[in-house]
Amino acid sequence: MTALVFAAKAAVAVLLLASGGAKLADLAGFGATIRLLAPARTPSRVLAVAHQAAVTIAAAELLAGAASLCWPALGWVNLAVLALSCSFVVVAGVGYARHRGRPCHCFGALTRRGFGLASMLRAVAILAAAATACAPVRPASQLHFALGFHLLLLAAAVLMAAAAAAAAKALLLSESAGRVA
Amino acid sequence: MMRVPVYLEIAQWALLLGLGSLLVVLYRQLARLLGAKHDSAELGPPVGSEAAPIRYTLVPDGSHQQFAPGDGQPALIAFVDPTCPACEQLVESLGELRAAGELAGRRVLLLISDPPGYLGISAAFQATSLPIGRPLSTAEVAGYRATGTPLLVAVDGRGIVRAAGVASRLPEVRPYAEAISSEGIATEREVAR
Repeated sequence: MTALVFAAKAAVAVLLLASGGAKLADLAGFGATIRLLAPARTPSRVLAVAHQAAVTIAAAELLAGAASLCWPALGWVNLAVLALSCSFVVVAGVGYARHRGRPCHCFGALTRRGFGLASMLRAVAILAAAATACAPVRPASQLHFALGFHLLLLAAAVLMAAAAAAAAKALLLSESAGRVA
Repeated sequence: MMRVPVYLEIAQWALLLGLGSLLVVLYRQLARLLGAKHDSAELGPPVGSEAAPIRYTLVPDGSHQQFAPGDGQPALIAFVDPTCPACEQLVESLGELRAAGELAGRRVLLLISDPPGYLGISAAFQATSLPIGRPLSTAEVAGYRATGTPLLVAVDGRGIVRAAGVASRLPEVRPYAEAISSEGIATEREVAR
């Protein structure tokens, strides 16, 4: 059971790092999704902050992912990740109900898949993993290790986010280049 | 021998899996790009071909209109969508060209595939004074091979496609306007595809 909790925790953290990094590389696309999901009568001045909202959400994912991966003993991080996962399910549900087939940019330019049943199921799976990660670990000392290990994980988290951002940016650039080639 | 915490081992595998997935995504894109070089002619109508007429619904009044190429007036047809950031840039670029008088004598039409209700999510689409239409069906625009957005097509006054391709920024859009003269006679210049 402990290994399952660890695996769920690490998997969700890596997923958050990848999606946060990829979103940062395609803020315009993710901003468009935020505007798409805004209620119909949202004032245009509110829609204008979609870019800032995109930055905030991507940064929140990166921070939550990094904290969850590198300091697994912090219980409140599990709850923050669970809250984020709940919001993914809500977004996937609204997208499935109102904007089926439209691009969700959930992983920036890494995937062009739109809102649909698959994205809904994916969000539910992430939520299930995040909920599993909240389960208590006994003995708790298993999650306490030397500072060197924390720093090693932090370096890996930065590498993961940077790789996702670079890959997403490369895909974004190559797609436009491919069209005019 | 130093004992590595179990969590660290599992986290390491998760990270490896994540990085491996990114690698797969990149390799798939590379394969697509290599294929795209051969298929690039599939986007947009061939330069020199006759542009097809398009029946569309004018947004937002809902009246039925028709773009009839070859009526003596050159036209820029932009296939765009409010959910596409590059399309917003194209709409802004066309607006700037129009404000600068560089589109004088040319008809400009923005064709969307998204539902008209989506226009509200884009400031660029809300602000533009350029006519926006939605084709009556996908068959109407099949000849334009608009498999991706933004796609800009320049049609001269005789109804001949003079340029077609992806463009969004002002320096990319201007050559399309220049490819069709305001008098309706095609210039020699054609935008390289």
